[in-house]
Amino acid sequence: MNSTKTAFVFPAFVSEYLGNEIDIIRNLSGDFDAFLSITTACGLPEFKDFSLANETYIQNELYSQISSYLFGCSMAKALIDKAIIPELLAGNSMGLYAALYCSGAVSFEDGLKLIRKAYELIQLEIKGEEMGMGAIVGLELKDMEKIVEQLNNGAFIANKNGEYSYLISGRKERIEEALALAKNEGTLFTSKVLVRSPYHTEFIKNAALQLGSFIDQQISINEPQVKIISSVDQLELMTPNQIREELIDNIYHPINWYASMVHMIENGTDRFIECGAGNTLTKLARFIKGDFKVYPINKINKLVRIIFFKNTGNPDNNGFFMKNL
Amino acid sequence: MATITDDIRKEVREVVFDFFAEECEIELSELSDNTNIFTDIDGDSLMFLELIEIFKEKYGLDIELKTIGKYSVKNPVKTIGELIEMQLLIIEHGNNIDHI
Repeated sequence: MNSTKTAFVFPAFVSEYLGNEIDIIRNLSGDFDAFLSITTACGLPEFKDFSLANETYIQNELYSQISSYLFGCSMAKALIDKAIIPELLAGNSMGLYAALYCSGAVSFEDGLKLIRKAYELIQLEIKGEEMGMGAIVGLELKDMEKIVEQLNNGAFIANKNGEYSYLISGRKERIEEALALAKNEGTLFTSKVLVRSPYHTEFIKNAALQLGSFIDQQISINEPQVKIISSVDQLELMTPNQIREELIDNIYHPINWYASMVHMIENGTDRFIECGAGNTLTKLARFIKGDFKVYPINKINKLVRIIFFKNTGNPDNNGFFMKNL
Repeated sequence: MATITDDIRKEVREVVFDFFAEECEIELSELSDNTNIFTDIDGDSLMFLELIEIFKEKYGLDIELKTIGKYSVKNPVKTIGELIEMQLLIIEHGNNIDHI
């Protein structure tokens, strides 16, 4: 009998909420409110009145990342507390931080510190220059490379989200140019991403290296209890040093979410749980061939009921992860 | 060039309507040809892509995504009805759709 191999996958900032994420997580456990309290106490009082109805939490680049982190961590912990244990973890872009918390590699508080510090260092590095990101859906890699060649090193491929889905990152005017070139090339869709930072490019290499110094001085990284798949090179991260390097590389190297998913599928993962708000990773997974299922947050209750009853009596139910909450 | 029969037209409509009803979690009765995919039912670009892939497989179409993209620039698709018409043109004309 084949057993199911589960991976938790964590989205980056959420561009579109489903609307009922908080209710779903509150029904699973009380962790969301506990994490909110910690967030507020950690120098983010703006989160005291967190609400999906308040667009600030989506439009503000830092708050959006913190929100995504909150949803990712609380959903992952709620599932683990219900004995749904992942064999692998992977974070898309800034989803890395929630993956690290889930693995036990960093505490919730240190994850918050990392997100804030990374954001602060990036803003200092770009020093008010107009930067950003764009999404292009419908072109192949060779088309994307042809477009980037024409941008005079002003923007680069930041992430391959899917076979025909890319994010580019760089100077604002080059992003706009890239989107126009993509339309001429025959792309199905283009859009600007709601961020001002050129994530996953060398524009912010110094910020990434400074984050490394911050990590050495202020962050305690433990050995992960669950392997994490790098979005940079799809290697399995199993030591604190590997995680440190990934935290740095994730900032300024291009990443390949599509390759991470393919890697996990080819290595036997047949159940993915999107730990976070929205369902972007679930949608992206539809274009990947293989025998697997993906569960976004709004499909999680059914899965929890099925697995809970199958796993009743699991002796590791409460002993798997560090209880840093 | 393929011939669009009434059966194909009906099948394409059913696939498109069923797709959006399921993906957007909406009753079929709430959808119409005039439904704006983006503003009325929160559809997105990945849904477009997925539908194209569904029809490519269903009808064995050998069409480049870029060709569809170039057609869409000249003939923007916003509603379910427009999407159905585009899909029928794709089935009928394949890679020549860009020359219509």
